[in-house]
Amino acid sequence: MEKRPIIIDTDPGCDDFFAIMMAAAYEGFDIRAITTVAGNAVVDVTTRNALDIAKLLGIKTRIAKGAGSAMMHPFDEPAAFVHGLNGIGQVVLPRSEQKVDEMKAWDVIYDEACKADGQLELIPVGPLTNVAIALLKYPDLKDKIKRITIMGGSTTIGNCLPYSEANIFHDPYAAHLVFTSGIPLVMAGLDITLTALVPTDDIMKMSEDIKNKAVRDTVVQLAKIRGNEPFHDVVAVASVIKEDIAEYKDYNVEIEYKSPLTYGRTIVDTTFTTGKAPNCRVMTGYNVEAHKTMFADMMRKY
Amino acid sequence: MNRIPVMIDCDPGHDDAIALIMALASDKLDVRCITTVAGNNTLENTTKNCLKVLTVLGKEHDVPVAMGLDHPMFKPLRISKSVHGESGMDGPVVPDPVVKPVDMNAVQLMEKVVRESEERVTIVPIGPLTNVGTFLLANPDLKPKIERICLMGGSSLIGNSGSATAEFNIFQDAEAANVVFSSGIPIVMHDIESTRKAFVEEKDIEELRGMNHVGKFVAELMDFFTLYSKQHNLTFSIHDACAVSWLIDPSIFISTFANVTVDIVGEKTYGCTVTDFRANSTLPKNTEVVLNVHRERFVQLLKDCVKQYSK
Repeated sequence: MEKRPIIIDTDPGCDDFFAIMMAAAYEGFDIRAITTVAGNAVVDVTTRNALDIAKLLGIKTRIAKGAGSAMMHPFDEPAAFVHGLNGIGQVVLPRSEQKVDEMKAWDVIYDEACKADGQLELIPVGPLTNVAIALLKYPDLKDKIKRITIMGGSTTIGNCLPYSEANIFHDPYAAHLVFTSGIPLVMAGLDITLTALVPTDDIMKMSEDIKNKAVRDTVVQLAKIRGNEPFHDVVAVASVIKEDIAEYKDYNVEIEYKSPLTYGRTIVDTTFTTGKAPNCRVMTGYNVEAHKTMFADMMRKY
Repeated sequence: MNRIPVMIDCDPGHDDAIALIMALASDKLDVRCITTVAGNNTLENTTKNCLKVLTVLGKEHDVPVAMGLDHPMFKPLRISKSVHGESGMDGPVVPDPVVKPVDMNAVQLMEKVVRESEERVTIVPIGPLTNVGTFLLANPDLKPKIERICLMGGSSLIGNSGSATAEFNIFQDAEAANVVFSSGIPIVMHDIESTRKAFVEEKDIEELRGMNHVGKFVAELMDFFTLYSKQHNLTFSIHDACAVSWLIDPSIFISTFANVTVDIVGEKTYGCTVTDFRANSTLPKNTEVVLNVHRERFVQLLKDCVKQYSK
């Protein structure tokens, strides 16, 4: 079977760790690069984490550093209360000797898109800044990307604001560029990822199947720190691996980036009020049992 | 039991007319005044339609009607004739009313009613909030005399009238809505998603038609009003009647308390009633947000109200 070329754009991040872990455990993927962005921590820290996570999980790929702040404003305080000061709950990973790629994240995205001959899929699970900069710098990029599956946004409830989810909230201008790019989009929104809970006790039990001690220790630590919170980013990766794990509907989605009340809201026109054509396949349901099975299977790969 | 003193601010409007019919039939409510506002149509037409309704009910001398503001606070009036027709209440043929509005504007009449009332008064806005917002700006001292504001309008998750985030009444005058929602007065919000669930079926319309002259009037209103619903695959909802029905019998509705803030600057979310459903929200829960309607009981209440006119 030919492997599917993907790039994970990420800001690790506890749930980013599990998203990368799931992608790496899947034989059907050829991870062409991991690109990093500021989000759960400053970009130097998320990049350090990406390098160390790749070493821990045995991923051999380019790791490229991306944007240190959102497009239109300086980097906000990291969500330290969610992810710990180093982005991954103060868990210390074995240090990787791998060097960061000489190219920037957006250049790597373009470079790999050209090499992949239209087959490259992006899985951004952090703010969309890198993808947006790539689209601005390389106007022809939009015709070279097969699909972008985003963890971000929400059809209903938000976390940063009543309707606004963190990844989009951190850079709604970037999100606007991505959502208007014309590239086929899939949105795994917060309203859906909130349902994808694997209880900590289950993860502890599953982790007994991990043979690699260093991986097992990290999984146990992260699961404990995180408590019974869903690993949102994993949903995006899981749905790229196993598309029928979710239900989807095609809707028009727009990003609000002017109002302080709705800054970063993904406006999903579920009632087709605007008459605007759908631009996004929005996740509307999720098979949590299948998700748990994928989680357990993933552990056995290490 | 004491009847609840209410002031209805409206822009008839087919569903406004039915709301008025219910309010004036119920022995739970004491309609102290009706004020008109530009919204579904021009102020001139909404006022004329309001007086027509009262005339059909034979109550044109019972309740004072005052004309309000003829355009939103910060922009010109933009009306759409696709829902309510040229006159704003197309359908039933009713002669032009003889009775005239009182010689005061809407805000003055509301002030008079509230000042003269011994009990606190409930405001029932079922059009854009221009009059009510102006009343509150002009009378901060009267806020303690307002029991609550039970309104039709808003959109916690969906919009209408071409906006995916805003509902028509709020979209028409979001600035006025902002005054109302930030007033500190308890608010009951019948948003567009909940009012869509308050619908009648063809058989209900036919039952009403045969009931009495008011039932016939209601059916003729619905004959026209449902044309738009049919075209757009929508239910035959009587949005504005929800606000009145809630005051008559709140147990017909299911609701939750949340913070609601009106967006007046958004590019795509102007007029959205931003509703904070987050469990960890720390914002004051200023609004009772209606989520669902016991539809059959709502329809029964409508029929019971119309039956009152047989006496």
